[in-house]
Amino acid sequence: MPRELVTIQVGQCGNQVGCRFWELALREHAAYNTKGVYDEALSSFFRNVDTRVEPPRNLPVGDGRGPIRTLKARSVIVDMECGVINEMLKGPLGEVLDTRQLVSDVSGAGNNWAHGHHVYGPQYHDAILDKIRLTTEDCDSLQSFMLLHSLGGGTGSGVGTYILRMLADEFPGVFRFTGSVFPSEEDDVVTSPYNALLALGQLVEHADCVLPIENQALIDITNRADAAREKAAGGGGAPGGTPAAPTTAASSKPFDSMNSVAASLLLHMTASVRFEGPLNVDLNDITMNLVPYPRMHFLLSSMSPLLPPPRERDVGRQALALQPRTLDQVFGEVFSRDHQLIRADPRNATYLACGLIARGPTATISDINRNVARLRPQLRMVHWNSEGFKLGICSTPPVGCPFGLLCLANNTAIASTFTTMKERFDKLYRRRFYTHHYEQYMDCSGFESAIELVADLTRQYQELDGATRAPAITRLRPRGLSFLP
Amino acid sequence: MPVITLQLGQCGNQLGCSFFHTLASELSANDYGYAAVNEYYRAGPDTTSGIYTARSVLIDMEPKVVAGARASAAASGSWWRYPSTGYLVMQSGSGNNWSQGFHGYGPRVHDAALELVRREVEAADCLTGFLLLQSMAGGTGAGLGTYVAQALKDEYHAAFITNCCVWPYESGEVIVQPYNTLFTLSHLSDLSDGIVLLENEALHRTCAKLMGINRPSFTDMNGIAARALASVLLPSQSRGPNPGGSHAPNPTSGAPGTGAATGPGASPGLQLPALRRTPGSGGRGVGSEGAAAAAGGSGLGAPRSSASPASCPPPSTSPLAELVSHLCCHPAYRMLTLRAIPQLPPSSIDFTTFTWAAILKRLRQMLVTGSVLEEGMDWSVTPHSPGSGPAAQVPGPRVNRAVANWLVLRGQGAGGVDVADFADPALTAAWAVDPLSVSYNGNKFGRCLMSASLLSNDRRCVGPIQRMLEHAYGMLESRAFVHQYETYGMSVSDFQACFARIEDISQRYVRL
Repeated sequence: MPRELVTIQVGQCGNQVGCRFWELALREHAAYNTKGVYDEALSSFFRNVDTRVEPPRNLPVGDGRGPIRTLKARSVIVDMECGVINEMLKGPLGEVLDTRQLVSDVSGAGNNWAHGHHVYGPQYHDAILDKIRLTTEDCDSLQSFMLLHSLGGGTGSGVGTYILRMLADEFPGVFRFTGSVFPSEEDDVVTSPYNALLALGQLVEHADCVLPIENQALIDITNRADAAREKAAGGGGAPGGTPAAPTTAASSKPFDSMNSVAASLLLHMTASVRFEGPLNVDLNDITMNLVPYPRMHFLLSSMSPLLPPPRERDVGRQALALQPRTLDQVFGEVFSRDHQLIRADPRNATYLACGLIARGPTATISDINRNVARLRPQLRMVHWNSEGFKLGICSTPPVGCPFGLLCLANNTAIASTFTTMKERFDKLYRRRFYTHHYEQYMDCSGFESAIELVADLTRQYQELDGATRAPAITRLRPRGLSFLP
Repeated sequence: MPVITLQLGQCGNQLGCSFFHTLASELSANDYGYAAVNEYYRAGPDTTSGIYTARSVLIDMEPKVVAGARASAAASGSWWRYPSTGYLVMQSGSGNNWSQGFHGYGPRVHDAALELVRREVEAADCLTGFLLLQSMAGGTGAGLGTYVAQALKDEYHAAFITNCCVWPYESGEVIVQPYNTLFTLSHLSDLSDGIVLLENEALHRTCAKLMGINRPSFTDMNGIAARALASVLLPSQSRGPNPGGSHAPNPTSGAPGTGAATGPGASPGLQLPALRRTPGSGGRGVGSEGAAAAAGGSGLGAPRSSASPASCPPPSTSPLAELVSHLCCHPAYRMLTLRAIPQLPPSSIDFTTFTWAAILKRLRQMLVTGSVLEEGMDWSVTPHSPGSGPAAQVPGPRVNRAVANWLVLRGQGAGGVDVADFADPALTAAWAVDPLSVSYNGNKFGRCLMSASLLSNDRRCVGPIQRMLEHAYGMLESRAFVHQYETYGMSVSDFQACFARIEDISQRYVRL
């Protein structure tokens, strides 16, 4: 019996990331499922549907050897304007995405969190809840929801957080993970600081675990990868003549690689749920071990390899040689700033908890322990968790690489991200720029409560930042020997 | 006398699989007799094909590991399988949360788990007890495992419960392992009749240093642990510590009730464990009186009986019963350490010269220093070194001291070796009732010409427990992760009660 994850993609960014996610998930499963059977790993993300009958009938996993008929993604797609969704449905993913699980409108939320949260949210409450229920009823044992959205816009942040609150009410026992794209400095939406902070307040309250992803970090990563590729292609003469390689990279959509990185993160995190390994890590293991206090559930993620490797004929052998060769190298990369999906500085802050999920048939517990012992002296850990790491090993590597590593860290550096967001927010809020747009749909206590929530959380993180020395502890007297001096 | 094994959680299932594979290969390599096979395997549903079924129940809160274990058992070439319906899986895992395993899943799977156990018990003609394999750091093995142990204790009062618990790496596998480990230990110390601690760290070092494996994986470590367990749990017969002082002719010569196989000499002298105390054999006498064991003979671990005639042949007991009744005679002392030597890479076995003197000397020094590794010991420490008395205030006692020891010798000449060194009174506590039991079996174990294992109720556990306790205090002080446990109904006072109990256990051993 499988454990299913339902993905809810909201807004333009959420849908674009979601799109790449489904492509990469199909690619990963195709690489490992060579016989075309509908096994338990596939069923965590996809339903097997027999479309020959009307209405289409879901086929269960059974003994894991039934053939695949048509795969449909377990997802709910929400967008308040239909451009992105239409494009998705026309493309190769049209068969995998089910139009029955689509909620859309025409006019968009105008980059206004309040419009999304207080108008569209309630307006489409029933429709969205209906579609979600339909999806969950198709699941045998639902493990968690994954919400993909951005915080800077109107739909993703407003409707997305409304859906989050709805899930907390209607499905309290199911984990709510969010992949939230935080706006970067040079965001092209003027009101993104407002949207981001208001959405953040909701995430603090209603999400079980948030994986912040920053656009700027993704841009840096993809630029670095392109530069490396160009250098390698331009440097040596790759066989087969690939002067076309740089142009093929440039001609693809600009956000494509960035979305691939975000999608790979989700795939890697759920790898141990879907595939087996010597030390499995479930999603509830992650929330248990990496969330020491109820609201401190923001995890910095960093990963290696970040991008699915290009094919050799595209880039030639030299560029392929830039891929990490050994697991030790991978460890070093994961703890470097280049591989983080959010621009924070965890090395100069305190780690509250750190989880490492390694993928690959050759990864053993001793490799991980050795590398952790090597790297731990460079990390500042909080005093009550000076030793602890949460480790996981999955036998199936990412597509095209022999091994991969994901690091999810609960680190106080996130406080600086929150502080930056608050500063940007303050720049506008001080003069009440643009607030009249929001006050059409909500009153200003909404701003105040979000400010308070975020400030509270930031302070909690900052308090723990310096807590690296253990206070004196009084030990308990043993019960049985209490009469002894 | 069958023993039913319960494999709980990912670690328990992986270790259990390895254990049954090891047992199977040893039982095929040497002839221990039908009764030995019957202890851990029962004749399968299809007796004509010679397939046996392991007497085992597999429990896990997520399905992948159990499926893997069953598949590996069913791999071609092995003569045993797991029972086709003897497993219980749920979907979403225990999230490394002890209270989710204990308070959350426990009541939910109570009936189903007991039903599976009942089926195995009914298939066993006479149950000795249960062997639970679990880890202490996770959620299922630790939390649900403890719940199952409690349920078994309630349901089957007379059966022994022995736990084989895997102690996690000190460098951390799971962040909340201090909490999970200590909760498990504090509950099991009341429920279990004997807790064998297998430390991941020690297994890792054994693999790396002694077996020549550079990057040990869990499979390697499970293999070592399984071999160590098998070396004490396979059949053996009692003898005394002195050569030749072992076989007193047994007046009762009734044939054993079970289909015992060949063995030297007379029928087993058999007595129920509770009635084993003989006059004058208490205390520290290690002369022939206290050591007088009845004739072995059946290849089963026959207990030591007195010279007084028994009227009719009572049923024989198995090593598991022997283990708990000899070693864990006091309710406050239940922690057992397992040492099995020699640990050699398989390729060197054929080129090694084995002598009893060398093996026993090393094993004794391992006992004296408390080490579980064959090398790197401090040979200057003796049982009479300072720091060995009960008033020692050293935080980690330098000299190890035991409540009781059980020595198993296997191989050529095992019946006649002099092990009087192990009967040194300084090795055990002054009040120990039954300080040394020795048993042997002439069959080779694992291709080694001679091998010895020692199961002792000693102080070795204190070090790891103290270190884990410090971590746990630190976390509790900051109330880190406590809300996760409170979701399932635990409170800070539960944490404190548990820590107090653990202090109790550890102080007892320090003051041995």
